[in-house]
Amino acid sequence: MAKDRGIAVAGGVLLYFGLQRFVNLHRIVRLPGWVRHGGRDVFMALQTGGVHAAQALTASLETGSLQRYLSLLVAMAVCAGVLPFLGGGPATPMAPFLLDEAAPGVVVVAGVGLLATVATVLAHRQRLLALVLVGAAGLAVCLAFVWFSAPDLALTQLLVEMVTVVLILLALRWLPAESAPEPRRPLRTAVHLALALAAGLGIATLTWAMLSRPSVSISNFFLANALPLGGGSNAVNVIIVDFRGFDTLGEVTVFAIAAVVMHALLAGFEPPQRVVPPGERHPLMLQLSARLVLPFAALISIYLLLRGHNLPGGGFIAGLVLAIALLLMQLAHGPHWMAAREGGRGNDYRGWLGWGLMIAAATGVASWALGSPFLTSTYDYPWLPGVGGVPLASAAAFDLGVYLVVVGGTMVMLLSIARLSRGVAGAR
Amino acid sequence: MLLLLTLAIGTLTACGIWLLLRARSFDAILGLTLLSYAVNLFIFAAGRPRVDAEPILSGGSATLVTMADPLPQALVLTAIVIAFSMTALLLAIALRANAASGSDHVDSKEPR
Amino acid sequence: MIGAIVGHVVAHHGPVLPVVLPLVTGALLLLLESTRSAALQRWVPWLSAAATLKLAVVAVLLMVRADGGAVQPYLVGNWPAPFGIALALDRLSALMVLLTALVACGALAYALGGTDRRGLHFHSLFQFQLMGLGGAFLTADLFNLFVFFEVLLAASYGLLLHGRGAGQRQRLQASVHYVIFNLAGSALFLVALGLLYGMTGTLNMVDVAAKLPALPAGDQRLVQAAALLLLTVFAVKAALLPLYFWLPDTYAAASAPVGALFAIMTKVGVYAIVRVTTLVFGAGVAAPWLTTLALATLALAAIGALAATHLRGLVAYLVVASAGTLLLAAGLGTEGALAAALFYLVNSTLVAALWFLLADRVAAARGGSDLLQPRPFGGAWGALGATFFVAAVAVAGVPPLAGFMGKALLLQAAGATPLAMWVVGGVLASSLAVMVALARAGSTIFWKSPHGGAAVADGSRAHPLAIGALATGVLGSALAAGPLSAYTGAAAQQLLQRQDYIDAVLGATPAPPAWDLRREMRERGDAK
Repeated sequence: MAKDRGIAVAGGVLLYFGLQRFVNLHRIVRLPGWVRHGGRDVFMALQTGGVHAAQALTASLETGSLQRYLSLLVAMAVCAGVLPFLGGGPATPMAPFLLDEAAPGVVVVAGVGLLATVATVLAHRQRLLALVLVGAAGLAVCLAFVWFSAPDLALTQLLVEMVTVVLILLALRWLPAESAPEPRRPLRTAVHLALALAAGLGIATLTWAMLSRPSVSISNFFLANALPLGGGSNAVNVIIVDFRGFDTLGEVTVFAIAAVVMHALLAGFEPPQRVVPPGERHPLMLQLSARLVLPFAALISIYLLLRGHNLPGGGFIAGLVLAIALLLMQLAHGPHWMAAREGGRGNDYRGWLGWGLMIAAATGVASWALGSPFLTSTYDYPWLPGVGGVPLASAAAFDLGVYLVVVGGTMVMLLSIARLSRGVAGAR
Repeated sequence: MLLLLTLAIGTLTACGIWLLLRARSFDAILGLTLLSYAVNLFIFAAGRPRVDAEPILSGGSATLVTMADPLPQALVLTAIVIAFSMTALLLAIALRANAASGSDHVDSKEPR
Repeated sequence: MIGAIVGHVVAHHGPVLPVVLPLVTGALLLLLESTRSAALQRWVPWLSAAATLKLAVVAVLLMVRADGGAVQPYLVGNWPAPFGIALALDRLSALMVLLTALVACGALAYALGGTDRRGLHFHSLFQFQLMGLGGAFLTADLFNLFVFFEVLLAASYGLLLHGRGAGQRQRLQASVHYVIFNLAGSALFLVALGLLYGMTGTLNMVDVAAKLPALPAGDQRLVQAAALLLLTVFAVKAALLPLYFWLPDTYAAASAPVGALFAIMTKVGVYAIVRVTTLVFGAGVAAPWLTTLALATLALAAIGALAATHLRGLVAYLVVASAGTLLLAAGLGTEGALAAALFYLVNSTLVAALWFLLADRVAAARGGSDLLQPRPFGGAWGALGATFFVAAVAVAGVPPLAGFMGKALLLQAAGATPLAMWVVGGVLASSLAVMVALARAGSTIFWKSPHGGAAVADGSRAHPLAIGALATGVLGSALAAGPLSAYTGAAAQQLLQRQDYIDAVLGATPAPPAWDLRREMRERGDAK
C-alpha cells in the first residue's frame, strides 16, 4: 500500500513539473472573474473572521490567571469526588460517630492546632505571623502522630517543620513582609470560599467513610516478616529501606533534584540590595552554643542512623538532625563567615548529593551480582575482632546513601538562600 | 479522637485551599503546606490509627490487632519529604520571580 | 566478556534498566558538574549522550522482548507482589520507553548545540527526567507511580527554569504557574491513593484490580470516587479540559530541547489514564465524561491554534490537540479505538518534538522572533521550509504521513460506537482548523517575508542533526506503518485482556539468590 501511495505522489509531482515546462498550467484553468476574485475575497473574509473569533474565545478562556485555573482544578476534584454518590443505587453505610474518650490534653492540642489553622487564614497578610501560626499547626500535627503511635512520623514532621520554617524565614528577607490588599471582588471571593469549604467537607466525609470500615490491609505481611526477613524491629523503617526501598530511592532523587534546582536558580542571583536595619547582631552566645551543639548533634545523628532499623530513627531523621546543627553554625556566625568559606570546598554540599545517590544505587546494583533483582537486601554478621558478630544489613548501606542525600540536600537548599544575605550592607 | 482527626483534616484542607486560591506566591506556599498536612493526616487515617497500638516489633506474634499499621506511616514519611522538597523549590522560584517582575503576585503583575 | 555481562543484565534485569541507568548517570553527572575542574566537566555532555544512546538500545531490546507477547514482571527487592514493588513490561510500556528514548536522543542532540551551557546542571536534570519517565511507564504500583511522577515533575521544573539570558523572565513567570498547579495536583494524587488504600488495603495496581469485585456494593462508590480523583490528576498532566490552560504558556516559555522532551510529558498522563482504566477500574468508570471533555479539548485546542500569534504558542496548542485526540480514542474503549490511539501516540509525540526544535530554528532564522507576522528571513530558507512542510503534513493528519493513518484508524474505530457522528465531526473539523492555522503560519513565515534578514548566528551542527533525526523518525513511522500498526493492535489487545498482566505480576515468584544469605542467617541464628 505504501508503494502505491509512493507511486501516486511521485507520478503527480513528475506530471506537474513535466507539463509546466511546456504549458503554463495555471493559465489554462480559466475561471470567470467573479469566482476568481469574489471567491478569494469570501475565503479571506471567512478566514480572518474565523481567526478573530478564535482569538476572542481563546483570550476569554486563557486569562492567564492562576486563581481561575486552580479554581477549575478544585471544582473538578470536588465534582469527581461527589459524582459517584449522586443517583440511585446501594447506599454507602457510615458508622455513627464514635465520640470516644479523649484525654483533655489531646483536645487542647487539637483545639490549638485548629485555631492556629483558621487564624492563619485570617491573618495571612501578615506573613511572619502567618508563618508562626502554620508552624503551630504543624506542631499539633506532630503531636497527633505521637498520640497515634507513629514515632518516626512525629520526628520527621518535627524536623521537617523546623527546616521549613527556617527556610521560609530566610526567604522572607527578600519578599514583602506583608501582602498587598486584594481588590474587592465579592463574587470571586465567595466562589473561592465555597470551593474551599466544599473541598474540606468532602475530604472530611471521605475520612469518616474510611474510618467507618474495618481495615483490610496487607500490612500483616510486613509486621510478620520485618524482623525475621528484614532484620529490623522498626517495621516502618524496614518498609522504607527494604520492602518499598524503590519508593525511597525515588524520593531521595526528588530531594536531590530540588536541591540542585534551587542551587542552579539562586547561584548567580544578586538580590536587590536591602540595607539591614542597625541592631542586627550575631550574638556571641549563639555562636558558642552552636559550636558546642555541633559535635553532640553529629553524635546523635549517627546514633539515630544506626539504630533506625530497630528503633525510631533512620536516614531521614538522622540527616535532618545533622543538617540543622550545621545550619545553626552557619547562621550563628553570619554571612561574612559563610562567605569566607564559600570559595573553598567546604560549603558546597552538592557532592554529598551525588555520592549519596551513587551509594544508594550501588546497593541496588550490588544485588545483581548475587543473582537477585535490584535492591534486594541481605544481612550478615561480619566478625570484628574484639567485638564479635555485628549485625549489618545491606539496607544500612542504603540508609547511609539516604542520609548523605538528606544532609547534602538540606544544606544546599538552606545555603542557597542564606548566601543571598552575604552582600547585605551593615551586617557584621 | 477520630472525630478530632476528621475535623482537623477538613479544616486544614479548607484553609489550605483558601490560601492557595489567594493570588500571592507566599500565600500559595503556606496553603500548600497546610494542604500537605491535611493529606498526610488523611493517608495516616487510612491506616485506622489507634491510641494503644504498638509501633515497634518486640518478637512474638505481630498483627494489626496489636500493632500500628506501618504501611501508611511509610507512605506519609515519603510524602512529607517530597512535599518539603517541592516547598523549598517553590520558595526559590517565588524569590526569583518576585525579583524579576517586581511583584509577588502569582500572575507576575499587580491586579488592576 | 563485557558483551556477555551486558546481555545477562539486559535479559534478567531489563525492566528496571530504564530507571537505574539514568539514575546512575544522573548521579555521576551531578558529581562531575559540581567539581571545580574544567577537565572533568568536559566529560559531562559526552557521558550524557552515551547514556541516552545506551538507553535507546536497551529500549529497542525491551520492545523486541515485549513483542513476544508475554508480560514480564520484575520484583524489585525480591519481595512478591503486592508486598514489594513490582514492575511489569508489556507492549505498551515498552513502546512508551522506546518513544521516550528516541525523543530524548533528539532533544539531547539539539541541546548539545549550546542550550545545555546556558545554565547549571542541565545534563543531570535531563537524566533524572528520563529516570522519572522510565519508572512511570514501567511500574505496576500506584504509590510508586506517584513517586516517579514527582521525580519527573521535579526534573521538569528544573529543566523549564534552565537557562539564563533571553526569555528567563518568561520562564520564571511560567514556572510559578506550572509548579503551583502541579503541586496541587500532587496533593490530589495523595488523597486518591489514601482513599484507595483505605478501601482496598493495597497499593499494587494488579492487587487492587483483583480485590475490587469482592468489595461490597456500598464500598464500590468510594472506590469509584478514588478512581475519578485519580483520573483528574492524570488529566492535569494529559492536558484535558478544563485543566490544560497551564500548558500553552509553559511549553511556549521552555527552551527548545526542553520543549521537545515535554512532548512526551503530556503522554505520561495519557498513558496513566489508559493503564488505570484498562487494568484497574475498567473504561466505564469515566465513560461519558472522558470522551466529552476530550472532544471539547480538541475543539478548543484547534481554535487556540488558529488564534495563536506566536509559532511556539501554535505548537503548544498542537500538543493539546493531540492529547485531546488521544484521550478521545482512549475514552471510546473499544480495541480498535485503543489501537488507533497508540498508533497516533507514536506519531504525535515524534512530530511534537520535531516542532519544538523546528520552531526554535525558524525563530533563530528570523533574528529571534517567532511572531506570526512577516519578518525578514535569514538562514536556510529551503531546508527549514521543507521541514516545516513535512512537519505540518504530519501533525495536521494529511496523507501520506502517519498522522493521517492514525486519524483514519480512529475514525474507523469510532464508526462502530454510538458517538460516531460527534467523533468524526470533531476530528475532521479540528484537522481542518489546524491545517488552516499551519498554512497561514507557513505562508506568513516563508512566503510573505522578505529574504536576507539577520539570523541569529549559529555554527552548531547539532541543531540540523537533531532536527534531521526526528524528521527521519517521523517519516520512518509512516514508512513502517504496517509493522507499527500490527504492534499497536497487539498492544491494545493485550491491554484489554488484563488477566495475563494480573497473573504475571501476582504469580511472579521471588528469585532464589545464588547464595541464600537469609536462610544461612536463620540457620546461623538458630545455631547460636
